Amino acid sequence: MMVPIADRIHRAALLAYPRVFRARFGREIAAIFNRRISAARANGRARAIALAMWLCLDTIVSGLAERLRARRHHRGGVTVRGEVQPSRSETMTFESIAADARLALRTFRRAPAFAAATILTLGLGIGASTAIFAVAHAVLLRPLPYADPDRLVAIWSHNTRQNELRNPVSPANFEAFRRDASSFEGIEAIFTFFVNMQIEQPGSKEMLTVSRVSPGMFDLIGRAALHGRGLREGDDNGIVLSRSLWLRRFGGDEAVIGSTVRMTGVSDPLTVVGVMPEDFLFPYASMFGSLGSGRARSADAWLLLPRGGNMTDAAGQPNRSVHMLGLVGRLKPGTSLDAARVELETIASRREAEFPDTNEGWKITALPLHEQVVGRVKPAVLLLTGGVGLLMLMTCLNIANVLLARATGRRRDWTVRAALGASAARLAQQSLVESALLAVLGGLAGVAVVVVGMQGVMALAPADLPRLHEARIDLAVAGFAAALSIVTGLVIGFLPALSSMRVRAAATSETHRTTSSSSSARMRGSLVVVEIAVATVLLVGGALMLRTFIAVLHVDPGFRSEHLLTFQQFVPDSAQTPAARVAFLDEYLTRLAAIPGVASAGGSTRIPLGSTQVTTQLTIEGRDEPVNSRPEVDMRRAIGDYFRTMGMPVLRGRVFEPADRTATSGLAVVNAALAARVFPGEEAIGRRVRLGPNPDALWLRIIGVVGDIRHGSLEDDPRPEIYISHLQGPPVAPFMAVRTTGDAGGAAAGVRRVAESLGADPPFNVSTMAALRSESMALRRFVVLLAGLFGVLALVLAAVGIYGVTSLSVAERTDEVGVRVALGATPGRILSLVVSHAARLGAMGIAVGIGVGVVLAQIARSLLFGVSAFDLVTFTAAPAVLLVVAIAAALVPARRATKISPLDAMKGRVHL
Amino acid sequence: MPFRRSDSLLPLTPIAFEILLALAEQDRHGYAILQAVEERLKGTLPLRTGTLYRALARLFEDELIEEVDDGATRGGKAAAGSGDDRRRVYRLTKRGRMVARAEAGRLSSQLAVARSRKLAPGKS
Repeated sequence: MMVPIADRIHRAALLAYPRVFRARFGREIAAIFNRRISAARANGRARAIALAMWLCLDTIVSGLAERLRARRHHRGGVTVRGEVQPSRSETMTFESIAADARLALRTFRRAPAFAAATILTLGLGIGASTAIFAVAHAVLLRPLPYADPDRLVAIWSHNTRQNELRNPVSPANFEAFRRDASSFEGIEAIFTFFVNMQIEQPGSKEMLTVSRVSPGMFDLIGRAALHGRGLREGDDNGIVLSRSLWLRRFGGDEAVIGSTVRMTGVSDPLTVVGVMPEDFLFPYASMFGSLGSGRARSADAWLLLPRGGNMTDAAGQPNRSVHMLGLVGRLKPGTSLDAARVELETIASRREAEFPDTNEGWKITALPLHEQVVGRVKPAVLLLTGGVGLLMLMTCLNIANVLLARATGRRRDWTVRAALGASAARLAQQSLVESALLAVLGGLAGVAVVVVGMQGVMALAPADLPRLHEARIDLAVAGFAAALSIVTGLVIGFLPALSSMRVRAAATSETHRTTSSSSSARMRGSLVVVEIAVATVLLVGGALMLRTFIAVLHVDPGFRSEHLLTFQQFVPDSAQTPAARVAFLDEYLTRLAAIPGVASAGGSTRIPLGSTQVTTQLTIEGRDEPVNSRPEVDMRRAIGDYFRTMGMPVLRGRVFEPADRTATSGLAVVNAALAARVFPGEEAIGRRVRLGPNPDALWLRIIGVVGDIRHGSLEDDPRPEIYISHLQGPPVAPFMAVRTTGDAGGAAAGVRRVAESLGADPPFNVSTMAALRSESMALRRFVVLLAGLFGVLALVLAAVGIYGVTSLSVAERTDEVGVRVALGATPGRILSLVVSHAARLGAMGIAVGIGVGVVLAQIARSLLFGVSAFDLVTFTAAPAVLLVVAIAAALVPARRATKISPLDAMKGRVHL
Repeated sequence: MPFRRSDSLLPLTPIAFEILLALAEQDRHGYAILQAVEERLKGTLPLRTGTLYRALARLFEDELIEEVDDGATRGGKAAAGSGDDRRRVYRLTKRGRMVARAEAGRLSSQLAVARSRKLAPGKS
């Protein structure tokens, strides 16, 4: 993979040699290059890359030297013979480079403002690029912290009826895949949600985030425990702790292995069998599939999956109709994912035929586990990486332009050096050494930027961005910064080096000064065009992200998120029976509603934007549908005054009332999406439905239709939902919500006191709905902040670029302007002459930029929401702003040009 | 080219001399020269590909080396790893051998002086 790319780059570098030389030796040099790189690959990729860079550099420098020698020797038709040594002034030797570096440092000391500004700019560019690279590296490139992670695969059920690609898997299908799929060394399962469990220690309790896994999971992912071991078959009363929990609750005492701990609501004590290492993160919340949007990021402890409950059906067989498992498989060595997918597909089809009532329409989805973990954020991270790369390119172009201008200014200096015998290669080397030194110093300055930048990125980034917190400055990141510095040095030094060689050639062949100075002006002009094109892309990208963000901001979630406090509350253990739990919740709600500043209180088993969801099948009275084609809907229980508290409108009928307590039949409230989907063109109210496939379940009469809410994310369409009253099965850890008249956060203390007064544990997951809503937009905010920042920086860099190139062109055209003024040109005419030149450059750049932007926007379409990839407003406004900025930047030097007096110009007295 | 004395090219650059030394042993293609020189110097004077070929170009111009067909190498004593039809094999010319000898003589007379001044090990 690497060799062809390196070969191509090296072949491009070979162009530095004169044609004749290339024709004679080019193939051989290329062949030797490839042999050396292939040999170096054995010692590792990093070394091969370093060698490739060094060899390319060598080819460029040798090639330029040879080119210059050829030019010198053919001048006047005389070929000087008898010289085995290429040149008296050696290039690429340690001594000559050191001498050039010393000279460059002296130059910097003579122009400290130039040096400082350049080094700082480069430091910012290299530092920012490296910080973003560090994030991209951690999120996208670094392997997952498991043994041989490339062979790990996430397996889901594909619910074709609902077009749900990554639906959790039923226990029965899990057993079948595990038993029959021979492409895998093993397949294991987790609950696709974290479980909250409370650990009880003398004098204190703590709510833990627990992941439940199948017995073979620890062996499958293959990480050794820090102490003890992972969970195995038979560890039903065993628990494995995370390192942070072990340090926090057990003081890092190794003797904890083998001791027991108690969990609230679990009758048997649990034996600690192991402690996992610090970097062991499993599962990532993003492994929970499309339904997982819980708030916890990592597990505090691991338990085996429960044996009873939903895992088995009434007959004690693995459950076929409940989907709650996420599967991880390990491919056998040498087996491809495609082959494994085909095999799983076959098993799924077989089961469809065998159990049509539960399995029809259930296919499979299999993808690399890494893709499952970071796939969702990949486009955003790539976008930011691309953005910062473009910004870095603009920085390089700007600095190349400044250096080019300086090269023009130092022409006399170099002519003298050339006359004293400096070879052109030597002049080019000096120029390259100078720019490389600038880049290296910039890279060093960048170290500070990286540290601050990474902290900034981590602070801005959404807390649930998977793997972000694994980002650190390691060898790869340091290597990237070093490589970027070197490449930057070459990029910014290339044109000035070329220009210095022209000087050498010009000095000796007496080419007229203006020829090379106008060609250098042309070069600077083209650089600015490229720069403006890049700026256009960045601005358009930033604007599209901003419009997307605004669109998300204006999404109506279906409830009023302001003045709303949410939290989760454990019903005390003392309330063992459903009746006792109802009594507790009644008293709890009454006291919550009595808190000063609280208008109403309610609760539910799931809270929008703050919890995962649970789906169930709906059986409709009077419809003879096979089990499997019955609609799958989201189910929650409403507690107290839930709908009014959330601010969800009642569209038709009514919601639960205290009087329903004595109702003899079950009642249900549905949302508009369910009514439209399940009862299209019919009246939902009055219809009777049953939850789940169980024919003995209670019939529920629909009494009302409420508005839709966006549960998982603001960007997802509302899903069909059914609400039942908490009286029909009161939950043990409901989400509660209180609507306040003032600041929602202010009610938290009162809520805590209410729990205390009832002898309950303090509430947890306390958060205002506004904060939840804001958190749910965190990735968007992160992207828009950085993309916006890139856009602003792009504008500034573009302005600086235009300003620089216009100033220089005015300076160089002083004579011409003087003549024009002498011939009667008005200041207005001069102004428009200069400005129109800048505007032309700007327009060319913008045209190219829009073309590129249209293509890129199309590629990045998946990142957009509520705005078209060809958004006309964006594609007109962003370039217009850029053009205005370009013209404004050109006005300053243009005004200077209008003040040129023809007399001064001719006497050469103008110093601009 | 006009006749020139073999010592008019002296002193040779270290690299040029190394190449002549490598070719004095046997004909070699470019990569083999590179390897031979690197092997002998053991990294004390890293030889860059660019330097090698620029020096080869000069040696060509001065007719100190020449090219031979890979298959037609004298006595079949082809360079190691031959078989690539694109690969050229280089050979020392008569003149090259003379110049190398002259350079060796120059160096050894210098070395003799160095030894007599106790700057180098060995007998003067």
